[in-house]
Amino acid sequence: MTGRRRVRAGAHRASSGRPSRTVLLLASALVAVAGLVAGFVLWPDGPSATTDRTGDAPVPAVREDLLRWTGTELPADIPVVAPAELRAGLLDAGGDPARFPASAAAGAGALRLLVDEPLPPGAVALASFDDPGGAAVTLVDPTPGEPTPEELGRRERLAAAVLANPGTGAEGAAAEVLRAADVDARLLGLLAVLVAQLDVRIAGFPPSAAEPADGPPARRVLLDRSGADQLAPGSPAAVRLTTFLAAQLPPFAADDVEVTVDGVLIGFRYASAPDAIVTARTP
Amino acid sequence: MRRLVRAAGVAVLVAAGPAIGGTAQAAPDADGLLRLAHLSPDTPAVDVYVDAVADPDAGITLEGVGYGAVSEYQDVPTGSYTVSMRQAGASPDTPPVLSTTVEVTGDTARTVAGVGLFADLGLTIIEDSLQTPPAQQSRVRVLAGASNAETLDVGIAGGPSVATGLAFASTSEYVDVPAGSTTLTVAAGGQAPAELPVELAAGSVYSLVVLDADQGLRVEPVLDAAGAGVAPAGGVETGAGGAAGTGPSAGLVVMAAGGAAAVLVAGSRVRRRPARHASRRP
Repeated sequence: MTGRRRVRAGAHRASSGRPSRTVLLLASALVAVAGLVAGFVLWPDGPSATTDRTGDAPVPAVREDLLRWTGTELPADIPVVAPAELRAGLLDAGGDPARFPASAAAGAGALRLLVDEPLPPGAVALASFDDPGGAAVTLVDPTPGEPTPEELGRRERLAAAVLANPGTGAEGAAAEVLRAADVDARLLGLLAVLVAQLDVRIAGFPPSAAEPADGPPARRVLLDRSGADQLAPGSPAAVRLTTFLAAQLPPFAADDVEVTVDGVLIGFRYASAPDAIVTARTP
Repeated sequence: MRRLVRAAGVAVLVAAGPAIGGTAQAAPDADGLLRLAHLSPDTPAVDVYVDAVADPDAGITLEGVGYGAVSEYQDVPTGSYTVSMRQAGASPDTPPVLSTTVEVTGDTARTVAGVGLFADLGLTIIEDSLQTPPAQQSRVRVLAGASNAETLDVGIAGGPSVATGLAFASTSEYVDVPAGSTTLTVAAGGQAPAELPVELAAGSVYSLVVLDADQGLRVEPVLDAAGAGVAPAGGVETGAGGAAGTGPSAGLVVMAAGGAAAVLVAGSRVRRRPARHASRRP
């Protein structure tokens, strides 16, 4: 299928006031170089210094990032299968055994953590974590749901309608996201009614931290205006919007709503097949 | 809200309203037709908001839509719409809840129907036929909105079956049946059928809406599309009058009504308005 468009990139972050992907990559590169220099100084023998930094034992910082990400970006009932040593480390760091079951107990629908492994065919990367030691830890959905042609067509037409609304104000990367219909169907449905009823302006589709540019459709949107009113903390417009959001029911009830100085950030946690979820509830 | 049918009567509508024509052959960019149906027996009346996603100036509000109501068709431009609802009479501060999105194209007529019981309320989008049947025929289908009947068998006495084992909250396919004065047979859950007379106009298309009644069931024929011989009436078409009839049958009472020109949206109020309304709805 074609719904997994690869157009959401750093510009989203830029449009939402977050660091661009380029900046993040540069920072990562600098950290990596610094790590190599430090490694050379501390472990002049070189290769021996990397032997316990590979495979299943990412540094604690990555484990903490993993726990934070899975806690905020995944529904509680989605299991994540990790290689044995990484799983042990995650549990030691406070991870929930139900979240990180032994692989045999995971069942269908489980996500997987890969350490220094290429993306399996058909899988989609949800988040990537580079530890200072060089190991690449990637959270993947090995079997992401694919929209049917009808679902994809509906998503494309709805995204085009959102973009066509003169109040939407989506420009640049945000407009590209809508043109590509690269928006989670749950978020898109909610966005449609917000545009139609509250005249909201789309500032961007900021991805979550660690989310790769070629990840799943956008699950988060930043809105900065409602009609002529700025969506700022404590503003009547923000209160009206958050009240509206709180009243919504699944599948259009957002999981996370945050009022920031940049606007109201609305997010849905990852679902493998959001189009199917919407279809099941609103055929 | 006013129920469409009261007492022993079932309104079988006789038309009124703008002509959408039973043989509509709309151009792709022409307006499409959209109507709403409340088929959830225990769900309170609701106000329904239909908003064009792309056009901030296009929206329709239907107020006080109660069980059994089928709104008039609304001519709406081709495009995507959101459908949201709020309990009728709720505080103006209560936001409407998005229920579904629906697409309208110039060659389609669709019914957005609230179905099932309140605890499991769903909205379904039903494709309506605008193509008229062959000469001397009528086209009918069944919308099962009666929780008193887990399944329904509906047919024409001495004629074809219209629906067999049709589950609550579902819709049957259209079936062509002989036009004219005829008798419907309606049976719930395999019980002995009740019979009721109806008048089906040649060239017209009907949805037979089966609803809970105080005792048993009632059947509301709703005109989806009218043939050339039937004065097209407004958005929603009307029905051909049926004669009142009851037929007790193993605890089942089926009523069809007749006569009067009642509109199924009785009790509902339709108004067009700019879509920027959430903060200024009454």
